[in-house]
Amino acid sequence: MKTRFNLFVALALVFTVYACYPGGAEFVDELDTSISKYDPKYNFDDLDGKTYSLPEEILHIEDGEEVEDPKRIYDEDILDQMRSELGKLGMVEATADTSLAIAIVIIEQNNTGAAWIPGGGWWGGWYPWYPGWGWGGYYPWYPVYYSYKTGSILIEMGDYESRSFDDETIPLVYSGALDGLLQGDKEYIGDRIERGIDELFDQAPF
Amino acid sequence: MKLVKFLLIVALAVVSLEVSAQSKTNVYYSMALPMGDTKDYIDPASFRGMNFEFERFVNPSIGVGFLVGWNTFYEAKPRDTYPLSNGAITSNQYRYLNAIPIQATGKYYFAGDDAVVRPFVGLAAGTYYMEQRVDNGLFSSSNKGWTWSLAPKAGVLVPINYKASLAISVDYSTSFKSSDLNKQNWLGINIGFSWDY
Repeated sequence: MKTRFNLFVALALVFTVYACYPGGAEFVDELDTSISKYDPKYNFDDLDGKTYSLPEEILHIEDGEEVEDPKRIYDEDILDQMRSELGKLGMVEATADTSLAIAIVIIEQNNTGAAWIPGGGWWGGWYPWYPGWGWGGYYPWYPVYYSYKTGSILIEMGDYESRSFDDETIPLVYSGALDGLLQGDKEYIGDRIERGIDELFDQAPF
Repeated sequence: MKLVKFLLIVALAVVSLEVSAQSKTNVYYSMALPMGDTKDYIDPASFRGMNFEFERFVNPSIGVGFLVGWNTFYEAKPRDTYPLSNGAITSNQYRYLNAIPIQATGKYYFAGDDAVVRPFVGLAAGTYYMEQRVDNGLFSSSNKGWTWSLAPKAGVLVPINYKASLAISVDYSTSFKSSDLNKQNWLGINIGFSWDY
């Protein structure tokens, strides 16, 4: 009898503590992350006056496949914010040869699981001026989570001045990743993207 | 002959212990104030904890037994930027520390069970299963493992009736550094009940 009582008390306490277990984030935007990784050998202190190029179109990936005709709800806002942030660094947009070549990808995932996607894989045949070129040199990782419907925005910068004509590669010097849950209305998600890009530019190395 | 004598003495000792031994079950709601490295990692006090202790008296003043429990420390850090190797991450951060003690205990009671208040001191020693987890947004990383632990304690029992007492104690828990986990310290404040049988 006393053993049963002890067991009952112990189980009751375990369930009580378990019921009070802290749950972490309460709102979707509290799960947003902004991550920068960069090549420490590249001189990011010397960007003032250098040129950059943005892609004509943002690449959209859904469930691992390129989207043929994406809705492009946030594309213009993202490109405008990139121009603004790079302008604050003293950089000037170029249409042809440039110091930094920038590529942007928006990824949606509906599956469950997680993936670490290596850099460079999506760029073959896409880069506007040199078809067939991909990133070379420093390769980062891209964390893409899709336990729920998630969205990731990847911003990559390549050192276009150091491109290799032999290998047809552009050394990747910076990658920024925004990860979050794709929940909420257009304005809410747009605000979170804007905050994320702000955070990327507030982080090292800029 | 010597062996028979020895076995006889042991058997008599065990029987006498069984006859005279009194048992106790102590159940505590446990709060904890982080100290040292634990305070550097998680600052707020923990109000999520419990301990379950079984105790057997080898004489009227000394009880030995074992203790199991669970303490959860938690802190939600505001959105901030944290360094990475050649990079940084900006996110809300959620820090957890789960500590599950499995310890042998020994206590000395300064007064018998007919006293109005029974102060005691004691020591718990054994192991903690620790899990230290950090969530940055959707990212999660954790260190977990077993550590050696020690917890001196002091407290009082206030008998309510001939079988049950109100139990209040404080202890200072130290979980020693292991290959995966830093040393952890906290001051536990335990309030509960003690049952004799």
